[in-house]
Amino acid sequence: MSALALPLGITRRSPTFAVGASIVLLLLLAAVFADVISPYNPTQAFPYEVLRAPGGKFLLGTDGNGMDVLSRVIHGTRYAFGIAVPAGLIMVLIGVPLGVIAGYKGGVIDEVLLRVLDVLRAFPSIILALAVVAATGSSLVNVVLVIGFLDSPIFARVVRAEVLALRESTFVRAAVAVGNPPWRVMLVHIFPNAILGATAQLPIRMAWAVRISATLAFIGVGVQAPAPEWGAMIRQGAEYVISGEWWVATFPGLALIGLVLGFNLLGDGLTDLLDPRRKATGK
Amino acid sequence: MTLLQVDDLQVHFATRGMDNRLRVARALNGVSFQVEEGEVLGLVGETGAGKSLTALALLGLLQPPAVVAGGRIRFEGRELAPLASGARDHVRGTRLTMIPQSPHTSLDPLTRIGDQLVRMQREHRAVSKADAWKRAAQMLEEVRIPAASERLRAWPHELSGGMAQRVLIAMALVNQPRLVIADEPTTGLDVTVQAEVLDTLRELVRAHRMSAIIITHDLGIVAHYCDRLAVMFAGVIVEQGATRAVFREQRHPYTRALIASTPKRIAERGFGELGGTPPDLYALPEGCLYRERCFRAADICLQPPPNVSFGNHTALCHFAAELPAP
Amino acid sequence: MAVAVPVVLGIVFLTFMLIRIGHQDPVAMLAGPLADASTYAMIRKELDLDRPLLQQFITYVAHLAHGDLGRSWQGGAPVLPDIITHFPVTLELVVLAVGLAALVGIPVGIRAAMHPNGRFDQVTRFGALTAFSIPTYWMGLMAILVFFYFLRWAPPPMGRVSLEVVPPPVLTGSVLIDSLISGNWAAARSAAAQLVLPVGCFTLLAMAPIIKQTRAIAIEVFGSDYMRFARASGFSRKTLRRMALRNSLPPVLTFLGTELTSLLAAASLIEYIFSWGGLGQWGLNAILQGDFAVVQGYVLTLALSAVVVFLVVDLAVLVLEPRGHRRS
Repeated sequence: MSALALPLGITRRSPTFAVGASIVLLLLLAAVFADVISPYNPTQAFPYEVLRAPGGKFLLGTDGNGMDVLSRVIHGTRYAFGIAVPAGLIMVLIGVPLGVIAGYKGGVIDEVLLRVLDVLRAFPSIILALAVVAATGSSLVNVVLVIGFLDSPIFARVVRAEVLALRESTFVRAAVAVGNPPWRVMLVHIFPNAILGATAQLPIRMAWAVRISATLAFIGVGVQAPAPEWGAMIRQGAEYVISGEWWVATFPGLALIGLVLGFNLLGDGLTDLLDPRRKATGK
Repeated sequence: MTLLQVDDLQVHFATRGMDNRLRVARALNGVSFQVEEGEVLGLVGETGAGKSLTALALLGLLQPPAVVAGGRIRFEGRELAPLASGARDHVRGTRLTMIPQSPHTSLDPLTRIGDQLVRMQREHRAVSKADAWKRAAQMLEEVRIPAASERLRAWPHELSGGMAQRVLIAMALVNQPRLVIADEPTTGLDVTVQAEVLDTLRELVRAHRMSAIIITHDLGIVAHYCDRLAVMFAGVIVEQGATRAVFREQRHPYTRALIASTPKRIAERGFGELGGTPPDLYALPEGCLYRERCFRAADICLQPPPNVSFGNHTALCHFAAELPAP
Repeated sequence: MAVAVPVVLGIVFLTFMLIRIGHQDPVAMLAGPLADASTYAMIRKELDLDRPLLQQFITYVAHLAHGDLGRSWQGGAPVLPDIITHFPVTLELVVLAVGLAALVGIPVGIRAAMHPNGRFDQVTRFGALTAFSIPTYWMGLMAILVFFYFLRWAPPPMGRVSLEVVPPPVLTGSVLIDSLISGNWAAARSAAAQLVLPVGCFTLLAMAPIIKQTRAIAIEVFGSDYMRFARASGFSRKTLRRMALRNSLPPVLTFLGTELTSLLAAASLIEYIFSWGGLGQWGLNAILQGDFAVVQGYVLTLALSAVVVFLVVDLAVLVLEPRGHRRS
């Protein structure tokens, strides 16, 4: 089997996954090589080139401070990934063990988790994030922490559902019957399989993280100008929309849509890929 | 007249693996049997032999990746496959109906029983709601559900397993079909309830002069309720004939092993061996499909076996003419 | 239902604590930079901030029982009347948008589920996913850009009714309805025109999750045993579709309930962009300024609305499903 066969096979099985992965990969590369590919320094202001339309020296135009939009958009990927990845890590580190324990052992932990989920269901998470960040101060670290913590229960719920199903499966029952202690069953038998099922959820949560952080920045909480964060850029651009300087808000928005869409496609595609295979190997 | 004639039916499942290669599972490999008017045929076989799939193929309900790869189905003298879907829909439900496996989940949970029976009729015939309702009550009586007119207003989840199964029978029979296919009609039912339900089914089939195919893995049911039986293995019919004849002498080693594994025989003669695992549908053996599990297998079995007839009794085996040692 | 009360209380408690623990010091804001220690102390005493947290909370709940939600620190207006004025404004927006989104989205989701991975399905899924990935506020901005600035079709995004028109008397809080009731056609036309963009954006965004979820539910319904039996019994396409719709409705409605709550939040962003003057915008500003009483009032309203919505949904599901029916 040639090296190309696997990627091709995956593409055929789930074009969604392929497209999503490509987009995310592309933007990730942009983040890594931002300094190399940006024509200008993202925070360098050109006071005589304020609000230039796209074209010529500034491919995507300049904003109200005379900074190059293209370079800022490119560097924005660093903020996006810089928030999504650590937040994702927190979600996984908290959400997975929580979900496994809640699903397998039930009891107090499960009850608490369900109550928390109830509250979250009744309460728009954006408002909660907003309130917390507003109260604790707008810094990158805060935003990451808040988003990570807020999304972990949702992640835990998905894992918990997987675990509940696994708990009844024959091979887990066999492991218990043979005499494995609960912690071992959870670690060796349940955990790897639950992870597989919940993996598809991770990109979707990361898409959400990118969205929320941009929304927070847009409202005025979280990362602020002159940092080249997409939400903050849109916030700045909002003032100019009515007067027709559309490029300041449009391009960061497009980039945002691109990354969020990429993550969502990735997550959807992953669900497609993992699901029928799981059915084939049986539970 | 032969009501149903199935010739050489083949059904494949085609899927693509992660490595992008085509994998084909040959689920039905040339199924041939017939059902005459007024008779009950038992379709037996182990899980995965292809029994339910045959029923789906007959009803025209196969969906991708399953596809009919060959063979013909003639019902009431007409070929079913070339029929347009609208016409096929009409045949299903009026002339050819099915009684599905799990009674509770097969009923629409949000509609009352009576309304479902009415719907079943009005989908296929121009009949007033009042008349349909009356007929629905009539059907419930025929399937021996007590207090029929009150039951009509019941919801599916209010019924016991046995009653739900009877309702399904009523639904399958309300449009007076010529052929009814009962797919494992006793799954999930207590043994006593099983017998009652099957008795009711047989009564109705005889009373309305219908034919029926009972799909089951339980030889006891076949022995009691079926006039003829067809034994399936790996997507082919390995033996068929009158029930009594087949039970008396089996011409195919698989049938022999099956019958030998019924509790009665085990009590008489001890455990035989049914042995082995179901064949891999992606990689079927050459020649006789039963070759790898057969106690009688020989070199000649690498050639596809002939379908040997003894009057109405046929068997797909090179050694069909040999009679077993008692 | 019994769960609801502790949940609501829990939310209010959380917000209460949260906002007091944070950085923002309202006293400093109210007192100004030149105030001395005694002014601080005086303001603190007036606002009850010198007492222990728990005691403050209990006082708050006691006041609540009398319908007193406190006063805003920006200008001192009482909170409750403000909520009553602002709420219908947001309600108008949300109800219109969700209603439209459901009307279009549910049938689309079901149709997509009929032929999974078919053409219609793939196009719809991609469209829904894209709409889902577009930030609310950005779409609002782009809509203003295209339809107001470039095309001059839509009126300027300055609130719910043009300043050039005489506004109707406030009866329900919805300018559109009030204009229609009082026969003020000019105002009604203006209100309708102002509604188009925000509702349009909002509907598109609300449709995405509705389509996605309806599709998932409908796929399960289509794969169920009773649908298989219906097909085996030769039911027509139309009947099958109707069965699928009916059986999908309870879980879809439940989902709509949860969507509504998150959409209430998204509404505040739309309000902000279009200067709509609704609850969301009001609450948003309050959070940013650390206006405790207003924030608590806002949160309380949100939580209570959520409870009401869930109640309504539960009732609707009860009507649709026979009693005692257990969903697997």
